[in-house]
Amino acid sequence: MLKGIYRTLTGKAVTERRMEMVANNIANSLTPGYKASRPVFKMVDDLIGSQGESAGEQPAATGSYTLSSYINFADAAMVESGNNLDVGIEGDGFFVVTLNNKNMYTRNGQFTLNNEKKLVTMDGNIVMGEGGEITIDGSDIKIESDGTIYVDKKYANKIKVVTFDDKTKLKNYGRSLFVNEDVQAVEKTPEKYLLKQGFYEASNVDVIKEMIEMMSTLRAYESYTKVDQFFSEMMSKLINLGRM
Amino acid sequence: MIRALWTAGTGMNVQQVNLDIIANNIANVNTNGFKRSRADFQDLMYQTLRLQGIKTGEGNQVPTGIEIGHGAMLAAVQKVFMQGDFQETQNELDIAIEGNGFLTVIMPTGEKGYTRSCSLKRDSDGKIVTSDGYALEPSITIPNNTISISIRPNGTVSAKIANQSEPQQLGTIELAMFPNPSGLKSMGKSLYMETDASGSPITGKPGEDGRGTLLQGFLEMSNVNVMQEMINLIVGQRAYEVNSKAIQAADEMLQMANNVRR
Repeated sequence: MLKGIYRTLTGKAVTERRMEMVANNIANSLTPGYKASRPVFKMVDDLIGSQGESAGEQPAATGSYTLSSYINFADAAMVESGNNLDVGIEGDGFFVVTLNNKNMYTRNGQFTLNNEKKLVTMDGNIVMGEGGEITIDGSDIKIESDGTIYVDKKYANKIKVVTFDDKTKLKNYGRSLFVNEDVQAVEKTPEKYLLKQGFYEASNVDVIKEMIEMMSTLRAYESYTKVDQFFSEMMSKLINLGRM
Repeated sequence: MIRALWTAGTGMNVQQVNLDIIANNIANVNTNGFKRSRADFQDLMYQTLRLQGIKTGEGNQVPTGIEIGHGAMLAAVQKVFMQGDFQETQNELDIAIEGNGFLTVIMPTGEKGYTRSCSLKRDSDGKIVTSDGYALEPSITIPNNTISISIRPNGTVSAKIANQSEPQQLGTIELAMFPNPSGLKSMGKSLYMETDASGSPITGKPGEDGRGTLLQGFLEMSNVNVMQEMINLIVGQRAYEVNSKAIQAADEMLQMANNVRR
């Protein structure tokens, strides 16, 4: 039988995953602090398939795709909100929040206070400072560009901002959070960052790029379908050959 | 079936709520004491098809995994308690709160409500009430033969009464502050109610402990910025549109898959 039809199948499966990633990016085009996922394709030579064939023959030049993805941690635009508990990070770094006694990382700086006057994310996860949990008791809140918080002109705490040497180890957790699952990766203070009070970071999804990605994905899928139809016709001709 | 359909669907859902909130903000552009709401979005959980960092059969480490997200969701709708602009009305019972704090009123159910819409009135007994007839807490009654009322920035209410040379002190308007005003429950009619998230109110005289001061003869206007809402509206509508395009694309892919066998 023709092997090609199975190869278009893997291609189609990969293209579907790619489409799902694009859809997720588009759905989050207005999610603050969201970082777009990008698909990566690798072509794997189909060595196993060619082993049974006669020696000296070149491996079949078809390949099966494997898909992987990475998170694009590029900075996004800052949106001015005027809310004095909104903080945007310009440059490298993440805010540290605790969830189930575990450190999670986020770039979504839309914070609020809970009933104990602690600084929390919109989900109620506590935002960590250099000196532990951040308590803000007062009305005049000033956050300096290094994260130092002054409440009523008195030092209160400093917002902790950390980064990693290798950010590819960070995994999406959902709810605008990233989780570090590599024990060897340690938090470190980024060299260059600026905190901006009254701003929050928008999503870094580039809608034009996503539309192009979507179009190319759609057309790729269409091509696979065309090839499938072609194979189908060929096989149909082969089968009907005997009847002539 | 292809997940992209539902993923883009969540995106459309979220934008729909976003438009609802913008519409409500715009509808209240002239509501005194109104505070705009803001929708806060988050990404949904991810499905990990291949975990990063695991070892492959050849002993290499997978540098990046495959994570496929499931779209977006609404995390919170936050009231933004930014100061609104002031409008001079010269009405002696109109007050604007300059800074933080809420007036406390008693609702018909007996519960306490909090408001920043302070266009106050007098009822038939001379009690100071809101436009809906809810009495202030602590209650202040204005005598019948009053000529004029003066409200000091620190909340002291005094009245000039006919045939009296000295103004008579009637009471003090107190302001309530909350540890987390965004956690208040909006009741409509410019009223808010206390919740577990907002914390208990701390009442006291205006101007003390970070409370705002009162300004007689002025009203606080809505803090909705029309320009900002229009931009949010455009962005929200376009985001809705692009999500619908993603659904169309996913649908076309399914259609093609169905057409392989004719």
